[in-house]
Amino acid sequence: MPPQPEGLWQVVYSGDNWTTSKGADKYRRGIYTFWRRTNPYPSMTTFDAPSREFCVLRRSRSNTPLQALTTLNDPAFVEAAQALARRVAGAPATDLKQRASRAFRLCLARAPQPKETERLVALYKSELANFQQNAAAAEKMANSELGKAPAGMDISELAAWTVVANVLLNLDETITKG
Amino acid sequence: MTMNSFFHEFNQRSLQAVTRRHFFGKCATGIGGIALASLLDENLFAARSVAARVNPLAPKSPHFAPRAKRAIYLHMAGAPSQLDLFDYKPKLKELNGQPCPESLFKKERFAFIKGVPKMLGTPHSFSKHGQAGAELSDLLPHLGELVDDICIVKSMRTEQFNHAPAQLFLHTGAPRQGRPGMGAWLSYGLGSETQNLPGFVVLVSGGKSPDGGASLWGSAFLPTVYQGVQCRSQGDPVLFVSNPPGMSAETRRRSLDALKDLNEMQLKQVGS
Repeated sequence: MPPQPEGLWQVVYSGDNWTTSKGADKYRRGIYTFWRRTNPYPSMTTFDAPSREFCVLRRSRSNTPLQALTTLNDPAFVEAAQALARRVAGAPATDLKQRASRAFRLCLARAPQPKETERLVALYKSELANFQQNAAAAEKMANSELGKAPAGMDISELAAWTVVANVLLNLDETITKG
Repeated sequence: MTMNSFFHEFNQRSLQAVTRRHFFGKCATGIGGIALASLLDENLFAARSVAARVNPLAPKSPHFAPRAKRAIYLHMAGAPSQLDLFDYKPKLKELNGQPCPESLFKKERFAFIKGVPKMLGTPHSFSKHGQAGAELSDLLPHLGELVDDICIVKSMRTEQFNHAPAQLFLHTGAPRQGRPGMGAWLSYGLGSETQNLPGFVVLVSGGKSPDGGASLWGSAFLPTVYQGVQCRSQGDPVLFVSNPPGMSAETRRRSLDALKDLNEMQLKQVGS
């Protein structure tokens, strides 16, 4: 059971609760998500998941703002951004450009163009300045889903990388197949 | 002015005189009417199927001028039975407490009922109201004053006796899941006046989903863009509309700007 906002999953005549799984079970493939037809997992419904009330030959395709909201703000996706940030910030690197380039390659399987690296570094710098002014926000941005950061990591840097990671994971090229 | 443009203008004016565009322009009040007219404008001469393909929620007109401007549908599951509110059954009241006549249940099988059931009449008293003479029970003391302005439909019938299949039947026309809800059909047929909000909004109150669940406002085999979007009464009104914790509006703005720039760089590379 991956994370789902509170109060959404309601079942009648049953004491069942949606309890987010812990440990490795939390990160299983989407196909293993517990599915109740009258209360489907909301993020999947947003992406046109068939209701499973009958067989579907081909999933329909829609393009709605709700989908953008999901990939930007769904806690499950924010968690992914936080984890990517920790991975990128934790690895050794010579400079910011190299870190940004590594993050880019992790998401897109290709090396970034210089313009792209510059744009990411510019975003990182502006966010670093922002989070250095506001420790409480940095703490939330970097840790809200994953919990306390490992020792030795600068929280403002992590928060700034989380914002960069959030952008990388929302690029059209990342999300769209083909 | 050439012959072609004169004819075109004549055509346009005569169409304007008699289409629903004229109707909405003159009869709707205020901004809504003007907004609708401007939306309809886009579709008047353009190939409507093209507009619909590009935007599935583009407004489409029905084949007659509608009189209603909007519909608010309240599904109130759990209300007292119509037999206690609107539908007086004097014979049932007469038979109260007696065993059910065999003719009524001979060939049927009912869940939860064993042996011969007893009849239950309404414990409330009914009286006639208004010019229409509508019969209302004493549970609705004030509705009597409005009864001449409302329409009570008593001709509906169903064979569903359980909550979920009955709700499905009411909303989708079939007691099992698999058919689109009423709102999805309306969205499909009429489009949406506003393109900034979902065309079909679902508000669930009372803290509990109806027994039929999301299938009541689902789109089934229609494109999923027509499904009901649930606006919640606690937490985010629309799911995930709030930024994650720690992210200010300014940070979000900057990140969206970066996202846009990077997407555009890619677009230049690859073409659309």
